[in-house]
Amino acid sequence: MKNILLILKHEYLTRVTKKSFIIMTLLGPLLIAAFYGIIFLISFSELSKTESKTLYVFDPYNSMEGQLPKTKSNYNFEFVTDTVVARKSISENDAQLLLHVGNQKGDSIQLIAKKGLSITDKQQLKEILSEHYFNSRLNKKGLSPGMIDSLHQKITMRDEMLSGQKSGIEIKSGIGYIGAFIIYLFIFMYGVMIMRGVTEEKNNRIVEIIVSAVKPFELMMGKILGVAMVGLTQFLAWILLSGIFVTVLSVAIGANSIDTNELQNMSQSIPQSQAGGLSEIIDMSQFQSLNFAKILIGVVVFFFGGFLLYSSLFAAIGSAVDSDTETQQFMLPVSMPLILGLVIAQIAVIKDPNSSLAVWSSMIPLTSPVVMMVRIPFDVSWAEIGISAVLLFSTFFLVVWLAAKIYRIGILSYGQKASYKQIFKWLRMKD
Amino acid sequence: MANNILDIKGISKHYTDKTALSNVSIEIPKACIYGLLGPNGAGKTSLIRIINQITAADEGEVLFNGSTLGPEHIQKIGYLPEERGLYKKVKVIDQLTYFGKLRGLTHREALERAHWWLKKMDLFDIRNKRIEEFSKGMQQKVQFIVAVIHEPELLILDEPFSGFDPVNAELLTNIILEMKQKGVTIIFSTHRMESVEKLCDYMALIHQSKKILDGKVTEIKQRYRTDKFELVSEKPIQFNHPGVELLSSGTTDSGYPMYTVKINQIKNNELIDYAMKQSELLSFNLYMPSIHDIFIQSVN
Repeated sequence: MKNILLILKHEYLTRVTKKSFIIMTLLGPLLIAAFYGIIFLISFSELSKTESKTLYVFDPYNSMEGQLPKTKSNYNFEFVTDTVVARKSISENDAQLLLHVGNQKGDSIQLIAKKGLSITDKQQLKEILSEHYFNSRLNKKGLSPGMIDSLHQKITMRDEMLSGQKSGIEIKSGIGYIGAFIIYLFIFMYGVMIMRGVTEEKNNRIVEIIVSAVKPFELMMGKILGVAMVGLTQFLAWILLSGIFVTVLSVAIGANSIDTNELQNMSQSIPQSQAGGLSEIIDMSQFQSLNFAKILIGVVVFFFGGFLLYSSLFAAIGSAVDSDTETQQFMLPVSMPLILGLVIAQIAVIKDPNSSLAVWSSMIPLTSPVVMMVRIPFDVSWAEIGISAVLLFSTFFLVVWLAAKIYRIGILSYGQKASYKQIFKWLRMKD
Repeated sequence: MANNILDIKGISKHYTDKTALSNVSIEIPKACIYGLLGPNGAGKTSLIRIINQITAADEGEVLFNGSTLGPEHIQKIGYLPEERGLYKKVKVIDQLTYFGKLRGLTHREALERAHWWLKKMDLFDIRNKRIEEFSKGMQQKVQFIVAVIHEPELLILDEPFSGFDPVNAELLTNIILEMKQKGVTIIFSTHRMESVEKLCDYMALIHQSKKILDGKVTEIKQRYRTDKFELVSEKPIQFNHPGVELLSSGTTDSGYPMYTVKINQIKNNELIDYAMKQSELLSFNLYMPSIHDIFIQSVN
């Protein structure tokens, strides 16, 4: 125990005093902000890009009766009577398309572009045209455009639980998903750090001196816990710095005094259907639906359980190989369940946090840290949390035992090309 | 009180595809320099790892000061591995205190001793530098301090002189002798046989996982003396004596005749008398076998 603490302290101090750590800790929030800023800018500029396209409409059956609007979103429509000229024109211009209506009913339409067209174009045009046909038919039955508009109805739906509380699914999904993503990130960043550290010690042959003084198991645990502390330090620093960053930024913006009315105007200009969703997410009363004690306990249990489980696997990999480049073949099977967990979290849990896939994958130890994190805000029963946690920690002890075996032999085996066969041989070896 | 610091009794160690040690027994007396000799791959490192408790023997036992080797002895053993390794990006002083503490020292003790050794090794001024900025020779010196910082009773040196220049090798030799004076036992593992003759009091030869020879170095050499002599004379000598066998003849660099002869059941002086009658003798040497010769001879 004393040795584990000693190693923990050494691992922690040497890592947090490194220049690269300090720089990453300081720059991290800025980098993350910049990263999201760039994503936002890209998607914003892509969405707002209104490169207008010209559509030549060839309608030999006159199904539209010449009544297509001249422009709709970023498309300009133009009726033509001859496809030859239109085809020649689109062959010279990427921004031109030809719509060829194939029958009287208008339900068979050919869309021709020089190099094919984007999926967005296809979908938007389908929508525009079917809406046009629908409206023009309603029109023929005697409904004016104003009457058609008045038939559309906006619905507000409040979701409540049996207790009468708001169910707050948006905030729950948000918290769960952020938690899952942080675990995922943490395991990858710091698990790999452990793996590198082990390989470095093995390569430098330092390990031979250390294991003549302490047990390999102590070395492994000291390293895992030390790096976990490094990770926590970095994450806490990031949260703190982001908090300061946001505060400073909002004070700076506040000094510029943006008119709150302006903000309201902005939110009003957002289409009603979206604004409803937005205000629901911001709705603070949703927080009442959260079981904070359970979430906190769950986060701690699954965060540490998951990290310990995966990092002992990473440590075992690091001990088996001679260089970083050899780690690839072993990384894949270890990272797969983690990625799978995130995919399940994204798809199944958001769809139904109590689906059987979600429940099972939150019990199976390699996926449970990520999946359970997403499920916990949805008030998973204590029994389920308990079973999953017991499974997770018993697997952790089993894996640590196996990893320590690989570690003990692996760190002293140089020059042997690590393979699965070799590792199984090590597992069967006695001391 | 046992006289031996280590009693190695019938140790065997098998790996899945080869045997590293088979039934090796060695006694290592206190306060001596013990040479562990053998070619690369003979099993020396496996034996050292067993003494260091990095791996366990399959059969046999090791006694440390008369009691079974256990975790409590770790602090009494110092180890300089053949493959040297230090943390490249950690300051020398932090490195030394870390290893000292792993061997049971308190922080203060580790710091004091690290300072003492750094001064002795002439590295004190660069104690706050990182190892990666050091020359190979300086790294070797730091590595040596790691092995001795906790003042072990038993110091195991695996190929200690590799990587040392002559000046630092001399420094290291003096330190080793000094430690022996203070009662430290030093196990000196090497495949370079000649380095043993100068330093070691005792030795064991290991070849293909077996011990083939051990004992006091002077006794071994005595045991393997061959009654061979080397003569250099002014004029050529004819060896027509039933008790003298001429093994080879030649000339020295300065052109004098030189002979290697072996005597059979006659005294040394008879050989000298016989030779002196024919020519003035310039030199007459008893030909002592080198450890290397002994090794070759005992392997065959």
